[in-house]
Amino acid sequence: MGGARAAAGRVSVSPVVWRWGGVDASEDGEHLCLMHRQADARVFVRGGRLVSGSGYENAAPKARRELARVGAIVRLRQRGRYFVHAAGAVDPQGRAWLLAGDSGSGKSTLAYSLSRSGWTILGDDGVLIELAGSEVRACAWHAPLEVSSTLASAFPELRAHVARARPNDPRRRVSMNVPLASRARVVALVFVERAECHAITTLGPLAALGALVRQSPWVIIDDAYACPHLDALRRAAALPSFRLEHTPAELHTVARILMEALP
Amino acid sequence: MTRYAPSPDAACAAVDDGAVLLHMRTKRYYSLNETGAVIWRLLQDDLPAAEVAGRLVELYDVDRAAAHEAVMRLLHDLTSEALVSVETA
Repeated sequence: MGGARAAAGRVSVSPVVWRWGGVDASEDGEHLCLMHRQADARVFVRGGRLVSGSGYENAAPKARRELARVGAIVRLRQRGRYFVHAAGAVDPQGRAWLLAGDSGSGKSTLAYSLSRSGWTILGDDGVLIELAGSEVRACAWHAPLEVSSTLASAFPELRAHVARARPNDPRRRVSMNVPLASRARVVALVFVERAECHAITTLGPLAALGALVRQSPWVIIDDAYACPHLDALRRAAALPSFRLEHTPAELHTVARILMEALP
Repeated sequence: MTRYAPSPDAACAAVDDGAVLLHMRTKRYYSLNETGAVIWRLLQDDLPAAEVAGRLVELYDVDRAAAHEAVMRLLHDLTSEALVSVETA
């Protein structure tokens, strides 16, 4: 190894954002406070239990459901199951792939495309990972898979569902029934982003781990579960990892692209 | 003598090409490259900065002055982010 590398003991910094859907999280002393921004409703996680706070009793059912889901993410963490903001898809060989990325990066669209190619779906906006011996396993986090109905030119079957698009949703999303999976061994991570040109590149474990922390920010809750959570992400980051920059042209070829990427 | 101690609020996960540090209080995470990860591990072994630089000279093809500069630069970054504390005896 050359001196130039030894002289480059660099550190790069990123803030963790605790936000999922309409819910923000913050630490309140020894407890975690979950706040639904729009409803101004709070739930606390105390001693592994969810305790309602101000505004909760009068909050709309949708806000309460969102708070409960984030509460479930925190509680499952205490049982060794770690939520990752990623789509999970199982290929015809029974192997799970995690497609992680920020909101709007195309996770749901690619998951839907994969389902049309015979893959089964663990979740389109989140999966749980757990360690099982030497394996990293992905478990389902089922919620309706929502696809933008504006993609009807690529996926003609969406035309029959346009009327069901959520009102006031700029992406005009509709929920679609897809074949589901319950759990599978994870074989690869794919960090997806929309781009002008298609490319798939290999990521090293450091880049993969940093990206996973970003998509599993609950790892940084200051409690006894932080280290096992971080270790699970570290083990996942050791798997083959890729950055997939995709364009609309890849909507029909993503299954082949992924299968060709894995040796 | 000045010693640099990793913060008890920092959690580290080492991988083949570096390490990720979490600061549990500031809610920030950090990426260390391979050399940075080695320096962090040596700090965890309670080595003073001069010995850390000496280990780098043994591990890598680098002279002592360059190694010392690399260590001090990283320590500056880590200290400013409260990932290590400075103790002067």
